[in-house]
This record gives sequence, structure tokens and C-alpha cells, in this order.
Amino acid sequence: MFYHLPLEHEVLLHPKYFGPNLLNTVKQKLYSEVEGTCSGKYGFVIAVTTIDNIGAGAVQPGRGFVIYPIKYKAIVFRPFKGEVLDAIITQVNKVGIFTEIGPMSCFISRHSIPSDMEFDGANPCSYKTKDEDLILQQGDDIRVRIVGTRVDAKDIFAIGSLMDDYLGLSS
Amino acid sequence: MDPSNKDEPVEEDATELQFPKEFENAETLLNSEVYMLLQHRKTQSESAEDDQELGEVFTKTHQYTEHFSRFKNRETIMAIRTLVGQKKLHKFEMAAIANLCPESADEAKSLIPSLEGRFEDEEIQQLLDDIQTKRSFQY
Repeated sequence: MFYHLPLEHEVLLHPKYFGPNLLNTVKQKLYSEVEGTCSGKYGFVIAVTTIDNIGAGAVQPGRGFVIYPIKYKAIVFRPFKGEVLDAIITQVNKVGIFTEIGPMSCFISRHSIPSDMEFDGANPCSYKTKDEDLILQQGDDIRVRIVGTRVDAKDIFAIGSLMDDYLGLSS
Repeated sequence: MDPSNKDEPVEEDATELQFPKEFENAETLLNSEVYMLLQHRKTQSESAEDDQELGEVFTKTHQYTEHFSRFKNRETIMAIRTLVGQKKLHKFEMAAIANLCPESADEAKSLIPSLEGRFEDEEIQQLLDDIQTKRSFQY
């Protein structure tokens, strides 16, 4: 789910930037330090929308660096267990289906795919029902329920399931 | 020795509207809203002279929200927000309904289990029909 969250960050500024363009540099550093990162707590930070406040810079004793505490708002993507999301299939193989939901990867194990769907190894690989009524292959849009997430250094990885009603291929 | 540690995961479960406290009252965004915001940022960055490239996370999210965006303009998004705002729904549920656009009350309750038992089926169906109407009339 996408959220618009108020967050805080500290920018460390080297004295070489002290000049008329200081605040601009602080803002640019905020963008580059925070956008594209990911944490277990807030999820993926997609983009900063507004900078609410740049606090007073505190000079670090012993070094010339200055710390600016910044309050800003950003669009974040944070998956939750139990939520249903739209995904795009990126890879199909016999262990399951790999999908992408925006910046995040989600894997659906063979065991979380309804048993009436069988793996078909013919090129292109797919999962299909016996009567070929439903075919899941690379590039298809599917609805998946998140059953678990794993936070891994700077990435979140999700595990999904297609076992409930109305999940699977989006009409 | 204190057994609790800071990294202890909070019991989160969207089907029961159980979220970590930072997200309990957080503003949810529809895929369409995220697309409009990212599109705006993209054109800003293209017209500005700095060649700070937008990263992979941005690009993937931009493509994803463009692909799954259901509402084409601000007026429609505002109308949808008004519609879902009239019911007593959690912010998460409002966004989930608008993003997934279920067609029947049964589908809505299956995809968003927290809706179960809180509304009559007719009420949910009416809301879903209103959303579909707005979608079909957007230009």
C-alpha cells in the first residue's frame, strides 16, 4: 500500500558547501540520501513530496561538519501481511511464480497456487488449468495476497498466495 | 534481563486492520494519486537542468502505478475519495477498495476481509456501483 508519511532525516554537510547555495545543497542531499532507500519500518521511500522544516544546523565538535535535522513528507510503499495487491508476472518456473509489485519482488510458491493449475514447461512457461481456461504466464497481471514479508538489509521481499477467491488472473 | 528487544516485529495483519503504530492513522494513497505525483516529479526533473537521474525504485513505481492506475484525472480521484469517505472505513480499506475496484460485495469482502460484518451487502454493492459509474464516465 502506498502511504504519504511525515519522516525525519539528518543531513551531514561538509564545510565546502557553506555558501549562498547552502540550503539548496541540503535539499539535494536529502533527495539523494533518502529516495530509493528501503527500511523494514517504513518500506520503500519512493519520492520526497515536501520539505516541511530544515532545523538549525549543529556544528559537530571536533569536525567541521554540520548536521541539519530535516522534517519532510514522502511517498512510501509498505506491504502488509494479508493485503491484496496487483502484480505483474516476471518469471514462471516449476518452483513457483516470480512477480513484481512496483519496487518490490513477490514470490508465489507452487504450493500457494491452486492445485487445479499445473506447470507447463513448454516455451513460454506457464501455469494453466487442465482445460486451458486460465493461463498464467510472464507479463500477465495477477492479484496476489501477501502472506509474509522478509526484510533483507535494504530490501523488502514478499511471499504471496493465490489460494483465495478472486485472486489470480485479473480480468 | 529484559527479554523484549527493539527489533521485535509488531503483529501486523491487514485483514484485521492491525498495523504498526506509525501506519495506524497514516494517509494512504491511491495508485492513481501516486502516478500523478510521480508524473509531476518526472516532468519537473526533465525540465530542470540538473541531470540527477531518477533511480530504479522511482522508475519501477512510476511504471507500476501507470499500468494499474484506474482513474484518469484529479476530478475523478476527488469524486472517488468523497464516495469512500462517506462510509465509516479505515484509510487502508478506502484505498484498497479504490485500487482494486471490486465489482461485487462478495469480491470486496473476500479481498478485504476486514469489511466482513461491518456493512450490509447492499451498502457495499451501492458503493462499488457508484465507483464503477464514476470510472465509466471519466474522459
